[in-house]
Amino acid sequence: MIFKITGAILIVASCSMGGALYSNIYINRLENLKAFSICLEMLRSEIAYTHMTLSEASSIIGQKTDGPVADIFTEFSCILNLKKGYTAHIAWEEALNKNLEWLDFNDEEIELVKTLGDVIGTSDTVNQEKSLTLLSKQLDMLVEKAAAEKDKNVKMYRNLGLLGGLGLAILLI
Amino acid sequence: MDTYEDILNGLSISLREIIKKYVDTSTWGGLEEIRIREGRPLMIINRGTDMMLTSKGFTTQDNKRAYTVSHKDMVETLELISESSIYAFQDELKNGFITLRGGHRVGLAGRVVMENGDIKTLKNVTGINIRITRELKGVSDKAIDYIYRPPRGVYNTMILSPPMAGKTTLLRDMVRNISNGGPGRPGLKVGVVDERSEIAGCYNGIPQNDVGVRTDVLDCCPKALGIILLIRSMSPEVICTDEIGRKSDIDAIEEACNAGVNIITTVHASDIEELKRKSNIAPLIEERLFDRYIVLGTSMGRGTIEAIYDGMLNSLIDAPMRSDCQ
Repeated sequence: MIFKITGAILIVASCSMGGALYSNIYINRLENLKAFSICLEMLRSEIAYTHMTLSEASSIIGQKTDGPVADIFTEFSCILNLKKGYTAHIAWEEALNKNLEWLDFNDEEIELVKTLGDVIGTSDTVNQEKSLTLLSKQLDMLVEKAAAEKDKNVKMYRNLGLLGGLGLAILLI
Repeated sequence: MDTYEDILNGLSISLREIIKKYVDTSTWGGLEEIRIREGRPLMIINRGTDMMLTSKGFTTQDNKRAYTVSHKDMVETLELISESSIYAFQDELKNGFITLRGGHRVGLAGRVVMENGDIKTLKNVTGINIRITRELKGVSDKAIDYIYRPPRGVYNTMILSPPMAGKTTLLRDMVRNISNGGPGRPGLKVGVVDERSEIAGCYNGIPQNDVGVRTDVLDCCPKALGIILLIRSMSPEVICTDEIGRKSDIDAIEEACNAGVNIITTVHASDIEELKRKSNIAPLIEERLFDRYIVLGTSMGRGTIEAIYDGMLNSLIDAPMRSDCQ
């Protein structure tokens, strides 16, 4: 009997953990989207007020923030500093691809962050500000969407994990 | 070799491969300019001779064999020159040039956008000219004896020459020489107003050329404003600036002289007669504001000092001379 009880507890615990881990994708994604939004705002400020070059601005953003989004900006700055002839577009895409798996972004979100590489550094301050503001607005909409999905799904997957584990344990007993 | 890398870093991948190949088969030392014009052959100027380059990096005089610069080359080169940050160089774009690390000047041509009568920016850049800067330390060693005023000072000096005869190079070395001092010659505090980043070749505000230990540089600053600013803020003993000509420049120079600061400057003119014909400069000669006029030419090669005159326009040397550089 003791084995059955131990086994049941292990099943419930592992299923709950599975549900919790899966639900973490939604939490992580929202956090990264918010972090991206903050980094974009920092980049806008650096461009508009200090006129720093992209590599300098990205390096500072990488230092001031944490997590995978910070890693992308740091990587971007490093690639630009290598002076291998990469344009900002290519450097951004490369930095993004290296860190994409840690972001938990869906296709729509990936496409949006990729578009930063299309606009960054190619125009004067006023147009850079306009482009980054537009991108920020689009990102804010995705943040709202991701927050709603998180609220809906996190609880659901956690409960599903727990209940699934309980169901399985009952069946096996 | 660092300076060579600085230039390659500003070129698109295909252009940098061609220049690399050219340098492998030729000499880097003589290269003066790289001219990139969209839809036209890639050209270089080496020791005063212009040549086209093939895609293999060989020189040619045949248009058809030369590498034709593509739109992609132009866009990528402009992006790399500006470190992928056009916004950070918008003031430089207005002036039509960007300075690379190493002090090399990149001139730009394209479509000018005007706003309220002023140049707002430059777009559709279709011509890029990379002028390779080389410091020639020691070129002013002979001239410095003629402009030094014992016990501690220099004469107000004007260097005149036609374009590409070496007046900026001479001025740059004079700045270094005056600032560092020499045997029996104390170093002086020098202020440089470097409107076009040619003297000090500042990159991110740091002089890339050796301008001496007692030199302060106002980079990308209009001459007239810069001269006044330096007098107020840095108490220089000598102010050096390049290519004066506007009325406002002359007024600022007069103000500096009245403040007891010595001036060394350059002017586009082949000889004293041409200088006298310049309406803004002529009064300065009459007023004897300048004590020395150094005329440069090319009789013994670029940078030859053809003549040195005093304020009364009496010649101080019998024959042209040149200093050996390090």
